[in-house]
Amino acid sequence: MRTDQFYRNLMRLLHDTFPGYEFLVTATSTKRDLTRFANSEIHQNISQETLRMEGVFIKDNKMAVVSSGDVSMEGLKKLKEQVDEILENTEELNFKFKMPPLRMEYPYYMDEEDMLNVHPLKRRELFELIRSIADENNLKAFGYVANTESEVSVMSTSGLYLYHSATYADFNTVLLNENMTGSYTSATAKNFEQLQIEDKVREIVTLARKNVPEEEIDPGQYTVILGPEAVADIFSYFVYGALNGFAYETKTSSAVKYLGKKIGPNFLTFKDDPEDDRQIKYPFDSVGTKRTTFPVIENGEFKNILYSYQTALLFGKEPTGHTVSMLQPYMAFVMNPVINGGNMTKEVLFSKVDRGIYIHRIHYMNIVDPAKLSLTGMTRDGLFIVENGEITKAVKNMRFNVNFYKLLENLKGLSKETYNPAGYSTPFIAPYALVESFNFTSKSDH
Amino acid sequence: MKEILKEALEFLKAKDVEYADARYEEHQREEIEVESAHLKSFSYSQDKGVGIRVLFDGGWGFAATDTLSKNSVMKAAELALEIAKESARTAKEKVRLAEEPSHVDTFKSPAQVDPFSISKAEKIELLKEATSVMMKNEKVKRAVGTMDFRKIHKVFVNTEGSDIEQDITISGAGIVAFAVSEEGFQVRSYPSSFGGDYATRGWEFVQEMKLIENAEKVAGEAAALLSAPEIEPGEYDIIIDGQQMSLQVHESCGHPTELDRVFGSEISFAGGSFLQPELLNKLKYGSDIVNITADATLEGGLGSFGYDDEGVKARMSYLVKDGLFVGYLMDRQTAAKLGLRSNGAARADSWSNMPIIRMTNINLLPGDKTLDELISEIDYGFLLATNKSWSIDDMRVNFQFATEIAYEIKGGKLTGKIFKNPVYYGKTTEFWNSCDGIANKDFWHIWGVPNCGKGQPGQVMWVGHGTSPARFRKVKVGVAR
Repeated sequence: MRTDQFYRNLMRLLHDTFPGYEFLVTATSTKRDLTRFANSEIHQNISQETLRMEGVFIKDNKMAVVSSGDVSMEGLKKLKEQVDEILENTEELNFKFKMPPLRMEYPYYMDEEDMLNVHPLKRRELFELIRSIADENNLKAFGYVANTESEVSVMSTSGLYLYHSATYADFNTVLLNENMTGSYTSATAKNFEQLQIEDKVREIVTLARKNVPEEEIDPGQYTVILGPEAVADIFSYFVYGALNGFAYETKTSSAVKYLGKKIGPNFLTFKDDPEDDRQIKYPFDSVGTKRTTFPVIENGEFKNILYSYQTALLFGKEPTGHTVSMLQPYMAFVMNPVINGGNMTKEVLFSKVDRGIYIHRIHYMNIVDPAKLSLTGMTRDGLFIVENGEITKAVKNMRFNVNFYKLLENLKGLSKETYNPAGYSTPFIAPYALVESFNFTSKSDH
Repeated sequence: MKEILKEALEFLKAKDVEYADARYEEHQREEIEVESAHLKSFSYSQDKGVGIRVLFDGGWGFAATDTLSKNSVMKAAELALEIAKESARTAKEKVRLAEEPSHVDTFKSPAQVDPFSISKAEKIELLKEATSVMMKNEKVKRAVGTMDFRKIHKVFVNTEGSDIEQDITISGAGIVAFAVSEEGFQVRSYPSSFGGDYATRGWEFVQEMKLIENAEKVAGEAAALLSAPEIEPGEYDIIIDGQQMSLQVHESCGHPTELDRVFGSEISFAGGSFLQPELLNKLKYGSDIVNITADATLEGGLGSFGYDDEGVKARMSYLVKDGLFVGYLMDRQTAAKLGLRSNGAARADSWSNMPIIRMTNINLLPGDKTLDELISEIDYGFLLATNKSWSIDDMRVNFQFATEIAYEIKGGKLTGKIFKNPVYYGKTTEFWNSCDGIANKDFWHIWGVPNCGKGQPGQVMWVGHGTSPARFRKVKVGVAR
């Protein structure tokens, strides 16, 4: 870790190198160590240390967007040449760029002591734990265990200076049986202990043993229970495909028809919540906008979409704290996604199903029609018949085509229990979901 | 820098490693986005660093650093060794590498005009003009033009004596029209969707696209799609245009032939493959006219290079020959398991990542028909063009693609009628065995796909696909319900 002082020095260096310019810069250092395994053997074991500085440099309301992994004097001089060339060759922005207001806060230190300078031995031990559970049950283990240290600093010529450091751990595991089918689990948490690797891996042993599909179901509409991994995946596409403020303002988002309307049952609340205990908190976004709990769907109502800093400037809106990268200034993303637990326990949720399908995980989802937010994808790592509230047997994987908004109309229950499957560097807190009329459209071979 | 890398390797040799390599890379990138005749973003990125890979007692270790002092590189070498020892301590099956001669060489991709030498203003102006033309169509509410240029300098040395320097230039560009109505919106892209077309070539590649000249047609089709019907779901004879074929090859042939997937390395993430070794030289993957190669030597292909990222010389090899599944994409580790030599598919997207098996240029070789001949042999069907959406299962069997547009074919001719939101789906070998016509070399083009994701940590690789339009019989087509 480079510490707060390094970034303060970088800010001085930027002031020296870019006199007379306005700038808004994010510098991020990441040290990520990852041990990956397949067939119960480690096949990749790495350590990466990277620094990235991204920023906008403004002169006469012209903008250059730059990024550099080299923040040495020489690297910044080279960058300045590019900044000057871009500014000379571009026109004024079609909106007035305003720097974020002056704001200085104490650094946020969110490191966990035992997650700093983790020796590769620690990950080997965790891998061996997973392998031992697999061995005990005559299964093979596939997946990874990783630990990350990160620092983010945002600085600007308008007096903004913010810093936070954090650590987190993440893992995933597939356990496969002799049939080469099995089950999956994953988590992201603040430290290895909170990953609860042993509990999570043991929890999927039964499903992994049971997943020997000999039958297949026909395409059609089914009552399904979606596991938390599947729920998180589907809502990720809602974030990606419907929440961008730029697409909304240019009428190229499905949100145009639905924002402000009731799109789901009262028990559905989906938010960006840096305050959730299990989240890896992002206290500010990449332009320093303070991040607070932000409802997207509240009690079934589609309340808000996301405006990056630049989209907000362009369309006269307030930035919502979701700018993820200076290099993609119109991109906005939910960084700490949380779907609230629902209206019944997981056990009761399953008991509602006399005959239906349990979808454990989804593979390779994509948006078929962005105007409607129609989604397709395949099931993977376990598709099971549910009879009288119990998972009884595995069936072969199926392709589905569903419309996200129709899926919410057909959402009949969420489990009170929520889980923390691994998302994009933060967990995606999600429950089990009971959905009617889920549309399977074609079969696969396995 | 090369001397420091070599010192690191000497240090590792003295520690009795079986094998080590060190890679220094410098990346420069320029991305331009123009929206409806206004510059939306002009960005420049630079990045450099070193990745060191160590094989010790059959276990891998890899460490990467962007601090380029000798001290820091040596520390990365030590860390890679330490990690490799941890891998080795738990290994039941030791890693072995296929033989590869050492190479001392240089490679430069064939850019005639360095895209970084073209003024930024000229590039912006071209996109502004193309988007202006699209915006003249009143139904087009957004017109986007993008360019993306990269320069990558790589130095590779290993403990077997290889010493390779490569300079790769990448150019890409494209335009997109969004037509909007009360009912929704439709999109048309040119020459390809999701950022346009790419190649390891220079500015001349962008000029050849003739973006401005094609802008009016792109806008017109996007507008016309707003009121176009959807195809009644059913089985139809279809022709898939070259651009969509590139995605079809990518998903249903490129990925399943990656031997690391076959051996399970991606089971928990990108998935496995139905192409298990017992099917090699036995499975009728496609009809007799289907020939698919992996070829990193194609001049200008986005997946072209001189040497892969473990120093294996670029080459051509068959994956499917006369319809028979005959080969895999391999690195040295997986090739050794089959008793073969690597065919040069180990690639890393950055100095900070360890090379894994990636596509190079995966190509459906041209057939012997013209596009008109392909069309003339269809009573009723569709020509599907330009990828809009893709999805395939984790074993690469069940796929579903959406394209931007479908052109109706009736009585062996294009009728001029278009359909919106077309989707087709099927299973890989059934689909490829239904191929009964491939357009000839005059219609063949190497498409660039710059965004292929794989691996944990995630890597985004640039790959190429030489394809021409091809015809398939009785394919399930319909709008996703």
